[in-house]
Amino acid sequence: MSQALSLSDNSFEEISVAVPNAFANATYALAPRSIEEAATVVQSAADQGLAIMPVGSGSTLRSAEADIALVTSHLRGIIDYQPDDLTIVVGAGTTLAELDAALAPRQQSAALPEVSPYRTVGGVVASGTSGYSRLRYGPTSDRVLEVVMATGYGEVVHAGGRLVKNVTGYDLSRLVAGSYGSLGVIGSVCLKLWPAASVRRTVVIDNALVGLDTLYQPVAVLETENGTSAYIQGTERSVQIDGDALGGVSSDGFIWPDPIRSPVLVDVRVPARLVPEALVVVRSMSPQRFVAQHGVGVIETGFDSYDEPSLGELRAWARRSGGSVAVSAAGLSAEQRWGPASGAIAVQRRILDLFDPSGVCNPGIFSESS
Amino acid sequence: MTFISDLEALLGSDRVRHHPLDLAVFAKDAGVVQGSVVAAVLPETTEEVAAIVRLAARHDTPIVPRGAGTGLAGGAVPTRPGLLVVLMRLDSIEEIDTVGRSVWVGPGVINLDLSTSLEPYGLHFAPDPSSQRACTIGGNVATNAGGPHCLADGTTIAHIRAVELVTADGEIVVVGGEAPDSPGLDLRAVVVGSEGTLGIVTRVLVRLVQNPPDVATLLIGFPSVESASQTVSDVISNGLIPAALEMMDKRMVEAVENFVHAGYPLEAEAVLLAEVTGTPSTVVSDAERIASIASDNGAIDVRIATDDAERALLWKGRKSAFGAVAQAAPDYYLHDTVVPRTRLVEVMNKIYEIGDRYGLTMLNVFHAGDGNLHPLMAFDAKEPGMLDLVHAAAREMVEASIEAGGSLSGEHGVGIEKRDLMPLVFSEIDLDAQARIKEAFDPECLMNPDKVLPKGSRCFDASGVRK
Repeated sequence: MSQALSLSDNSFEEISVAVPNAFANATYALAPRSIEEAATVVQSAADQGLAIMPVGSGSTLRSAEADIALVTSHLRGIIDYQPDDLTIVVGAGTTLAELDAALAPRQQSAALPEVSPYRTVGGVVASGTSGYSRLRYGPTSDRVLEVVMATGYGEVVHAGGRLVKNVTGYDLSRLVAGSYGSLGVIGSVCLKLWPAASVRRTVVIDNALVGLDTLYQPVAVLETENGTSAYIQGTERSVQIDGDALGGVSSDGFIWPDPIRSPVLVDVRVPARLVPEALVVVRSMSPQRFVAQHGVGVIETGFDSYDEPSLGELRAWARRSGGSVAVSAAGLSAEQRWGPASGAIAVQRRILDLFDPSGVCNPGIFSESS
Repeated sequence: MTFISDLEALLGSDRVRHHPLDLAVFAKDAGVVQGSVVAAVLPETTEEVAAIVRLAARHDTPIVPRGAGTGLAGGAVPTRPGLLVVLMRLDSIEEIDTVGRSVWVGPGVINLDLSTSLEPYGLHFAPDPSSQRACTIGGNVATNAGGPHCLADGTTIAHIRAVELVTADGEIVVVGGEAPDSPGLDLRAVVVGSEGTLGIVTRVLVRLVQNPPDVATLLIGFPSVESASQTVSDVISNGLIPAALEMMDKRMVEAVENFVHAGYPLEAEAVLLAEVTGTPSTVVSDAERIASIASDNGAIDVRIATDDAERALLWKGRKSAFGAVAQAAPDYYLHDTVVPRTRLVEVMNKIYEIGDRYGLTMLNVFHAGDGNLHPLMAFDAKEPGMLDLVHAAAREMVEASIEAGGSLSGEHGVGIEKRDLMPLVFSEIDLDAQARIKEAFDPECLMNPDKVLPKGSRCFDASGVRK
């Protein structure tokens, strides 16, 4: 296999065990030991006209097809943790559980997705997946300070810096967030950290909008099929006062909803003020599970199968409301995944062409038609 | 038809300025670089901006967008004869979404005016540069501006949900949106902070944040810059992120006291201004913790202001710093570098050493909490060779910051001033990747050319000597 790519045979190792079944379609699975090796893979793939899909835990692109699954399992670990600067540099293949374990002794947090400890930092950044504490801490892209990546044209590029404040040219590190590997392979990421509050509580409330109005900087206000909860943090006393003001049953710590595990995962994204209306639409589709992030504008839900007419209707509604619907499931086309493209499509096209001139990095990941 | 007459046909002659006096006024921003302006136009709508861009392309004239001209890095100064598109008249504030906490505004809206108009809703726009009485939202977007309160709230990029942009080919596009996570590449990431080199921002959807229910401001005097810097590091490493954490050295305190009489301690070698926000109980406990950390580091004077009048007075001292400096010397050069917070003490010592070695009058007032240094050199530009001396010292300060793991600029931007220093931070390969972004947005290099990326970059020369 290595010979097929004209690579020295001790640089890469074939992994057959770690790659999830969903990647059975990939002809090769390669696990580079450094970002320079990843760049060599990209170059060789470009020379031979093969497509690459970077793979962390395999949960982001559950089924996308590519010739090479470039697995980040060896680009893993804590590279530089500066607790007093509130920054950490980690390899792309580092799992969120490993990251949390490193940060726990200093009571710090990167505020990444809370309920998927198996996912990798590279996967979460590449997909721009945010956690439930987004209401308080902003999206994952707000945490990305620096990225080292192997671009589609085979160079290792450093973007951003290990600083909490930095304006030095075009911020490629943020652009990489949510780019789904289309610009290249992420090798490492520097994340901005937050001190974790000493006291956290989850309070059941009746009305999400009242919660948003009453509380100062709640961490999250989530509504699920089981009801609505406000997630509050601070000192013993401030949490007590906030909890009393809300008046509902409360539990120590943050009790996050269980992850939705349906074969077809759906994210409805609407202006935050329209979450209640979007919930009416989503509920009419009778999903077993949903999690609505009030104040943010995201509703996650799941279905057993990809039902074109009903998802099409949901998508049309979301678009009329200024939003979109992202679907994640096996065997979807880019249009089925995202719906129509939007926002400066010509510029996006040119960026992809300039960063991936041979079309090797997750080609066709985004929809092209508007 | 000539370019000017084409512009006049489009906008009317009163909105096309090309009198020598106008051109002289518009040839500079608040920095020290002088540019060359063909004309300055004052569009009032997005469509007019788009028409101007198409017209400029036809006449092969580069375009430089400008807000209030408070920038210090030369970002709004045309390096070659160019058309200045002044966006002050795109100043509408549209309907406020109080649930989603956002509002569409024109780029010409003045930063402080926006937050003032939001007062009745209990909301504000978080970035608050020192120039906030004059600077515009469009300028804030262009430079990814900061200010004292971005320590806890993040710089401008964290507060922009979408921008409407006129691209180099005169198209009107929207990147980002009212809903989160638009499909495709998140172009906001590169448009914010691009200093007008990727297009002209004509409308901005800003994110609004809640006004805090309670606020306390602490003014703490220290016997040395070291003890103040150490306090900053200790506050952050103890898990406290104050809303703002600002430092002033003795010279700056003296200048400010002469100017506004805010009651800053004149016997202190350094003063920290810390602000904590939140619910009343967290504000009390955070203020106590900061005061105690300061005492452990030998603070000689701690004042806690909790009423609005006293808080306003303390902040007036900080915000008048640059006005106060005008008393000290006719000209000043305000620097902007960043260092990791843990290296503050060491880099501050180096910066004083550099200032002394060059024999410069230096004052310091800066965003200590996020390691954003603003050494300010006061001088008289009429003294022969003085400006060269200041630039040489400034360069050494940048190098000292970068050696400590820091960067060129925290919030002022790169502009012309720092573009040729970019190779100190980035390799040729890194800069080439950035240049690809410029090329994707502006293949003909008509949008604010010669800025941000150093000489020799692809797309540097608008006349087509591209690599």
